Amino acid sequence: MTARWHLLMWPPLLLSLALLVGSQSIFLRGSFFADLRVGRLGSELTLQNYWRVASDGFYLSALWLTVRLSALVVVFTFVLGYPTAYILARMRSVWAPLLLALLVATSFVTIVIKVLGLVILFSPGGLLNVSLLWLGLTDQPVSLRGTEFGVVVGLMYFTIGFFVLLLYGVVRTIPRSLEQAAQLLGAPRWRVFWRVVVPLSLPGIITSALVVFNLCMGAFTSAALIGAGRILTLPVLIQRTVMLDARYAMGATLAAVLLLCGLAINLISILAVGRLKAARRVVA
Amino acid sequence: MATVRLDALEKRYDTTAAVAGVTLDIADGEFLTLLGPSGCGKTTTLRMIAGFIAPSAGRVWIGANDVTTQPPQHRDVNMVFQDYALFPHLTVAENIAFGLVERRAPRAERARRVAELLELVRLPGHEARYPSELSGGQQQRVAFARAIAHPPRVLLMDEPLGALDLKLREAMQEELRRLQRQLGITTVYVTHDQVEAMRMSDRIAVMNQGRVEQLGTPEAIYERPATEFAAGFVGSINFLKGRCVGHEDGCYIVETAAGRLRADTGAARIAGATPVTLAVRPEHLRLDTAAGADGRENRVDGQVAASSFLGNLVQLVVRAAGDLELRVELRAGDRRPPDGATVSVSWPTAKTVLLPSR
Ligand SMILES: Nc1ncnc2c1ncn2[C@@H]1O[C@H](COP(=O)(O)OP(=O)(O)OP(=O)(O)O)[C@@H](O)[C@H]1O
Ligand SMILES: [Mg+2]
Repeated sequence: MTARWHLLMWPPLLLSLALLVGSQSIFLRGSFFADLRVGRLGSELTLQNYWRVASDGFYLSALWLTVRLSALVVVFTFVLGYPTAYILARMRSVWAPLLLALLVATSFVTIVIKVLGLVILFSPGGLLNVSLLWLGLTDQPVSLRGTEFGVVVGLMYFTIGFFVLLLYGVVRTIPRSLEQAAQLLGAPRWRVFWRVVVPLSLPGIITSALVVFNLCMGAFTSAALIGAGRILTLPVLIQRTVMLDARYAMGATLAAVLLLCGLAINLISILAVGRLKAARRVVA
Repeated sequence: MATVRLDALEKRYDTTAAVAGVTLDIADGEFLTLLGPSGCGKTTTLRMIAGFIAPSAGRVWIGANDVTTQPPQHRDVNMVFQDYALFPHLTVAENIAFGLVERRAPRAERARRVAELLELVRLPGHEARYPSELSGGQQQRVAFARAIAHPPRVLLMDEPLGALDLKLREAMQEELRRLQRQLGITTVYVTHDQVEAMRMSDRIAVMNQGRVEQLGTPEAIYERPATEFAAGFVGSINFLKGRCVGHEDGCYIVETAAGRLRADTGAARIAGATPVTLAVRPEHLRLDTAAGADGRENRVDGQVAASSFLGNLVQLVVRAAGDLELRVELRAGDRRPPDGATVSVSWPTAKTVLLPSR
């Protein structure tokens, strides 16, 4: 008898699919009609909105900006988060779970509060600038508001907790004895990390990186509040198009493009990992 | 290859001492086993030799070097872990070559060595397999091959056969011993299985509560245990409590509930009238009527309380005066008295060991 337990995955899968398709299809349907502004749609099916997005440098650069910022956040989150997750996972102290809980808790604080905190911190009279001026590192206030770097920092504020939590779990599944064996075989710390820990956590790294990437691609608050109207990522642009300009069809088109790009990037990454696994038989 | 010297080694955790002062000299090429019950500090001792645990006090010497403060990768020791700790993402060949890569051995040299080692552990042709595709015994061999690929000065093994079934265990005991002899690597082996320890070791250190109770060859520990604990942990044995009342003709005289008994061997420095324990192995006990004419026999009368047939031998329980129970092992061909029969149990004083009472 073959095990049929995989049938269990279908109800939740179908449910989430139904919710996604159900809610989005009505909205996304609008992208196939001409945008007559002030909230009205044309009556004939057309691809003209997509054509506009594809041919207008403004929209393309917004898409590129969104992907680029998301990728940057992934890189920075990884560089900061992976060692943190590793150290927390290998800490013998009773404080490790508490530290992890604190870190994760910060990720769940409402994003608006956190971002406003950052805005205050980064303001010309804020703590950061006062310290920088006092230390003499700069002679006029630097502002992160309205800069890409500021947005990246804001996004990281909310992704790093998730990332560390996910990778903490991954590292905990790697037996410590593997690292000790590598050490006895003559590998210094960084070699142990490179030859044992990294390959064994690679599938987990990719998955967590994708989670962060997806969170960033759809993130609105950080980009809107810290970007201060100067960093126009796609989510910000969609909000403006729909809410301020009442161009529903165009907003729907941008949303569809964002969705498709995200899906494509995820799919490619997952396929690439599959390839890698098949080639190296990485088992977590 | 090197000698190992543990000098008053200690490891204390908050309230307990996992290792409470272990001093051991391990000879070059020796196979020494740390034997003891769960929690007696075997693993802790081994890991202090490897360098994974920093001792609270004492020193570790390997050869002429004090390595107490050196990290594991600089000690030139290697270890076979209980769970083997094979790298799951690497093939058998890559696992074995792991340390050779770290030591920058050229590719051809690595390939040659891997082939040679697989031959040695009788796994040729398994280079490309992953650990998950091997049986427990095969994984064990790969772990061993990996540990000796670049021959370490000292090889440490922490219950490496613990996960195997009995048949395979026995086969691997012989295999490991053969390889260790062949290579002449100084080996410290950890087990709580006394049969395994006896079968494999040059010397055994019987550990209890963080201390070495007795250090000696398997024969010495079996025939001349130094403490009640060592006597009871290795093989089965009869204990008779009593008081040492004198010493004559090179014999200790001990007053017990079952009468006056004698012991040839014993721990020295037993003062008069101290509580002591006599110990004698069941296989040295005989049921016969002929008294040892020279007086070099101990004799206790009693009744057969139970007997069981075990194929090659018969085990009897004889109940004697003072609620004393003696376990007696007879060969299957020997005359076997019925239950309840009155018998006289005797054994040579030479096989009687006098121990200080706990
Ligand atoms: N990190 C630790 N913190 C506190 N106590 C410890 C720690 N590690 C070990 N111990 C204690 O030290 C004692 C010795 O442990 P050890 O692991 O050396 O025993 P062992 O002889 O290897 O036992 P086993 O046969 O069960 O493996 C035990 O009582 C254990 O509870
Ligand atoms: Mg142990």
